Amino acid sequence: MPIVTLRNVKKDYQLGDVTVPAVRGIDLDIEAGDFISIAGPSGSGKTTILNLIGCIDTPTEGAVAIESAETSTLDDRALTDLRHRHIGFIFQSFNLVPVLDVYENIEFPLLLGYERLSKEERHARIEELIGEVGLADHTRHRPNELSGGQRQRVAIARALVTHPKIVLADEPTANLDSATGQQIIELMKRINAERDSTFIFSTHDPEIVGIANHVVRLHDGLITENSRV
Amino acid sequence: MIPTLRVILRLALRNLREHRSKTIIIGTIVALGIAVLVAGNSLVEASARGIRTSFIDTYTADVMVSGRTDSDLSVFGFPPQSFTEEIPRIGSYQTVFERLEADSAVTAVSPQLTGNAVVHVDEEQNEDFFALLLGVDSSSYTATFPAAIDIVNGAFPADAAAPFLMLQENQVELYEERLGVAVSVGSPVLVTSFGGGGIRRRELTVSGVFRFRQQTPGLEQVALVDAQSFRSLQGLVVSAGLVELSAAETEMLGATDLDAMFGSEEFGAIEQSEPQANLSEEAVLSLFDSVERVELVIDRGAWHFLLLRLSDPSQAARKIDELNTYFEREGIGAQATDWRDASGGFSSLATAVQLIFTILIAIIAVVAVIIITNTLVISLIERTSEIGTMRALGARRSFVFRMFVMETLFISWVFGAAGIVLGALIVVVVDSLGIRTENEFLLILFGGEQLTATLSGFSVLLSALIVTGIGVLASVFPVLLALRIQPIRAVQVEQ
Repeated sequence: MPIVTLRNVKKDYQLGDVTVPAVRGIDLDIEAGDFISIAGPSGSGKTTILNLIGCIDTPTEGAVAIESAETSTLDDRALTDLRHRHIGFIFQSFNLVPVLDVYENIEFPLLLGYERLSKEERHARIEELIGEVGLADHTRHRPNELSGGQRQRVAIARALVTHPKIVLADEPTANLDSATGQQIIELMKRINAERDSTFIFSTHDPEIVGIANHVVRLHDGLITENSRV
Repeated sequence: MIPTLRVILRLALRNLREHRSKTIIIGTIVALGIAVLVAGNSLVEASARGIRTSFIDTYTADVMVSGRTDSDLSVFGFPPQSFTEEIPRIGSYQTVFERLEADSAVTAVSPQLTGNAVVHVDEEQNEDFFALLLGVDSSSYTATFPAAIDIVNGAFPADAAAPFLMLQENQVELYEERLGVAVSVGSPVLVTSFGGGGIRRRELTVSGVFRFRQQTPGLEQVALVDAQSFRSLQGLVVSAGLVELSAAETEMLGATDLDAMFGSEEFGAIEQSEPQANLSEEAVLSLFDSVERVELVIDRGAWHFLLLRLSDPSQAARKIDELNTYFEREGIGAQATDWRDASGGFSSLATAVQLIFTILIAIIAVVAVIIITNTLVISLIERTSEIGTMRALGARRSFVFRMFVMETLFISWVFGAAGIVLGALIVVVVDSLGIRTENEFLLILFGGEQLTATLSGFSVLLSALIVTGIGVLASVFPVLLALRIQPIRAVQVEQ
């Protein structure tokens, strides 16, 4: 049973009077535990696909299902709940909350009123992730006191803190140098293997694409390759 | 729920600290606005209280009962535009008086007559002075207004039925300054009155000189006179339900000169009494059959007002309603009003000051709301990606709502509290400076000679409510915008 299913998904954007098709009819199944790379040049529709899977955008046509739940039937609150419970986000620009430190940024999703974890349980979970992403010495640093790579590690820990089944990463290495980018992808790969989370990331870097076990290539909003390694 | 609130509070506080300049701009506006509100409200309240106390203690008492009229009637008579209108007498006076005397809530009653007159001090000099005559019963007057006047010279006559004329000290000083004539106890003065459809002149002897403890500009010309003399001047020897006299009859009764009695049939002819032949009790008695009859007419007769002191002044409004219902039910031509109506235009100054202050506050509030809203919207635009990210991570709209409201309320309350403290300091400083005035306008405005301000719980509570209102109102538009931010904004806006 695929954890994510896209059926004949189309997404158009309206730019003034012009309708721009970003995704032009895609069918895709993603299995649980996949480490999937969505590759393609700029404007090919990578980010749009991730946004649709992440339930932060809705398709113009077609259906997106997360764990068999059809997202188009859900209202804003249900989509918010679904995102929180099932999906972790890693953004290209890290998107950390600037006024919170490393620990608090990672803790943030746990404080949104869903889980009833004790302070000790939260602490244990956060400390484990901080150790896992290698930021034990930076717990009380604010995002502006960290390097790009360190920020992205915080974002990875934050994405994982709710134990999501799916982690979405939109060009997670785009704002990093190649060595750091490589480290981040390897970290994601390791966590994917250890935690059995499904990682879906977009990239246009051919070297990074090669690390994935499932590669989807896009061009002009259509899938040109869908292969498993 | 508690960890959620904690993170909301943490975010709110840190965002305020992070955007220090915006916080300071908003906070300063709020603090200054509230300081003005607290200090201004305290001053206005003190002023209103001063005016109220001053008038109730000196002129109006707690409740004024008068004859029925649709015009604005005060204890000083009708306003200048209704100068010619005759002040109505209290209908069924005896019934009303007995009703009030039997009322346990009424601690003192002072009947009063009001009329205008001209005082001529020196026969050799052709200069007259305006006087506002208040015809009173001396014992009731002093019982009802024990703190109203200080008698500088002379005294009310021991005999309650004896005539008297009490002049204000400043008027006596004015006579001396203008005419070089020293008017003192025992001095005769000619008083000319215009009431009762004619002009009458009487020579009255000054019994005393007094000063009002609370000086009110515009009321320097008030003089106190006994009811008998007043009625004779005004042609008002009338008892409701006892004897009704026409104006012509009244004029005749007021005359002591046979020529004047028979020499003129014209309404309004000037009647001149002989010097020293002032209207004594004997003079009036000679016009009637018996002493009893006269006293009945004088004491129970025509009065314009009954001024009541209540055991509990806060119940004045209830007592007024009760009396008006009673007058209505019994078909009595009387009405009861509060001190504001009784003081005429003087209390409206306090109302006007309060109105101006309220408008000022409204302007400050509107400006504060606009500036705060504008600053919050700018801050919101800068934080669109952050809010989009929070929404993507699972923050519900209610979380965003609470976060923004918390920020605004925090600013409002913290800086509002600072504003209250600042306002209180202003009040303390103003009070300790003991600012005094002799300016006529400021005398009324201050409610006395010294500007006093007292910090009241009401003013602090009102300020707290207003600052909360400003906070809530200012955050409505930004919050609505914030709630519309979709999670996709997390990836659409570069940080």
